[in-house]
Amino acid sequence: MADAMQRLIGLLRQLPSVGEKTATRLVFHILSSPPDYGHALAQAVADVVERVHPCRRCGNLSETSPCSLCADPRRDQSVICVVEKVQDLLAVENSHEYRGLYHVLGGALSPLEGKGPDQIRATELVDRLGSEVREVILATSASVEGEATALYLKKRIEQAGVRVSRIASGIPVGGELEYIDRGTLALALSGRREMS
Amino acid sequence: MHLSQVQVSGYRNLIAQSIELSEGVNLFVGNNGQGKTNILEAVHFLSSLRSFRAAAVRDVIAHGEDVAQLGAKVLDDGLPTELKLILGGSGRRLWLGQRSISNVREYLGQFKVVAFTPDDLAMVKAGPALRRRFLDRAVFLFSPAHLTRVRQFQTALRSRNSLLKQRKKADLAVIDSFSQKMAEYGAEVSRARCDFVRRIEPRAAAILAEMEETSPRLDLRFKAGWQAGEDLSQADLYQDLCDSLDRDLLRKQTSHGPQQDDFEISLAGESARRFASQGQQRSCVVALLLAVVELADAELGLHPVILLDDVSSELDPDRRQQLLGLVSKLGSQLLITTTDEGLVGDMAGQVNRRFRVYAGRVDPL
Ligand SMILES: Nc1ncnc2c1ncn2[C@@H]1O[C@H](COP(=O)(O)OP(=O)(O)OP(=O)(O)O)[C@@H](O)[C@H]1O
Ligand SMILES: [Mg+2]
Ligand SMILES: [Zn+2]
Repeated sequence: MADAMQRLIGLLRQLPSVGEKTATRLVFHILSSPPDYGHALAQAVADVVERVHPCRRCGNLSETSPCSLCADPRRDQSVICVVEKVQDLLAVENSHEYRGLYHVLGGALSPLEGKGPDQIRATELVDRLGSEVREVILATSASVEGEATALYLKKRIEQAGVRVSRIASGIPVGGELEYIDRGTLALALSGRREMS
Repeated sequence: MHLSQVQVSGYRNLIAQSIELSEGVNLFVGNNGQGKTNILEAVHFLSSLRSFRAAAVRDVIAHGEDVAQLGAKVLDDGLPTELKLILGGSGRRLWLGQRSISNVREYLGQFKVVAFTPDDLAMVKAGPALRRRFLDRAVFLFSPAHLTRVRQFQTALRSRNSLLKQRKKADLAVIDSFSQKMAEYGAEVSRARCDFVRRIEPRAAAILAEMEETSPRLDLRFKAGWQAGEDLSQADLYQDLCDSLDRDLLRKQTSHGPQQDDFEISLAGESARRFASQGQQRSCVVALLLAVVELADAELGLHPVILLDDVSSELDPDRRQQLLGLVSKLGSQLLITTTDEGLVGDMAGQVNRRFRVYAGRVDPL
């Protein structure tokens, strides 16, 4: 096999759930397609890497900073929805139940993985709580770590005098937002409760 | 409920084979290291999706294989169910009949077993960890969600411990968040254990009295591993964790909590662990095991398949006879293993089918 093919197979194999067989199939497919496709694919990969970065304010992945969500004046500036990952932000967006701002933590508190408050942009969140923000919705996952993160953030946000709510249960135990269907997530958002 | 057939392939040292089981008592005989425990473990895996030994999934897949495949034909009141399970490769896949199952709860409801290993049989004299394990497995039989709670509790506990061990200055707000979660899941775990001890106590006592006319009265008492009030509330556990925090920070470990739960077995008011004879201790365990089986019948109308590993090592002939007699009275199917060739003759009248286990192969005798 040509060296260039070997190299591409090796790179594709590093992607999640792509094994040797799949990687090989993908490379043959690229080679049997018109060359334009391969060029476009390579360019798109380069563009993603060069142009997409976390938004400095909310952590969303975007080509601009602030991102289009942060920059949109029609969005409700008085609510921030806190999620663990960008995929979760997209899930909340797709539920069409929410029109406020976001804060992406980049994970949950996890002592077992050495993740503390500094690794989850907690201070950045507190710094955003100006006079305009009236409510923070904690939409971390229903795992032990996600729940503990919600409790921790609640204390810090309340110190800043802002109301804190948690998305309603109905999210399965250990549930990750990104895998929950739209209807359930919309219900969880609209049924959110002030944390006691 | 009884198991009419088990299929194994790529599991531990067992060769790919299908084993036809009888109702009543099935006896597996073989030398050490031939695969007897592996058969019971495979049956347990089919039922509970985990091993009864502390084993990771990859440990049960035969060396050199990528996947293990298990199957069972179960008859419940004459109604057949087929279970299939593939481990390894891209995770775990489950089937009931031809239907692929994604909801673990649905799968777990189908086929129930109760397993007793030599560890369980040594429960009275052993440390509290084995008694907690016995409780958790028994509670799981009645409510599968208990396992989830135990796991969540353990994650919260390990997280808290890891924070206590951290070299840099402890962030008390983070510790507190994990203490809160530990209290929430942990109180529920302790309550389920305590409640279960209350439910089996009268049955275990009655069974023991039936086994031995002269036996002193059996009492069971749950002892929470924390400053628990009558209702074992989350608030009390949280308070205890807060009160212990300074000491925990010094010891770098969580000192109180459900991880210290235990239950005391006593005869005529005296601790069985400290005062009962060997024979009495074994009788207590047999009574406990049978009480679990009886309770499953009474509360769930369920006759779980009983797995008894290595009976000869902990049970003397008299207790074995009593156990078999009571089990057959309850109408449960029993899978037992032994290295003792003598048992084959001794138990001839009570055993419905015998198997020889040799180098991972199981042959009916
Ligand atoms: N993943 C595996 N792949 C292949 N063989 C394995 C695997 N795990 C364990 N074994 C083998 O299985 C055998 C142990 O089987 P098992 O524990 O069922 O024995 P046993 O018949 O119950 O013995 P004993 O009477 O000593 O309890 C050992 O020889 C061990 O090496
Ligand atoms: Mg064994
Ligand atoms: Zn943004």
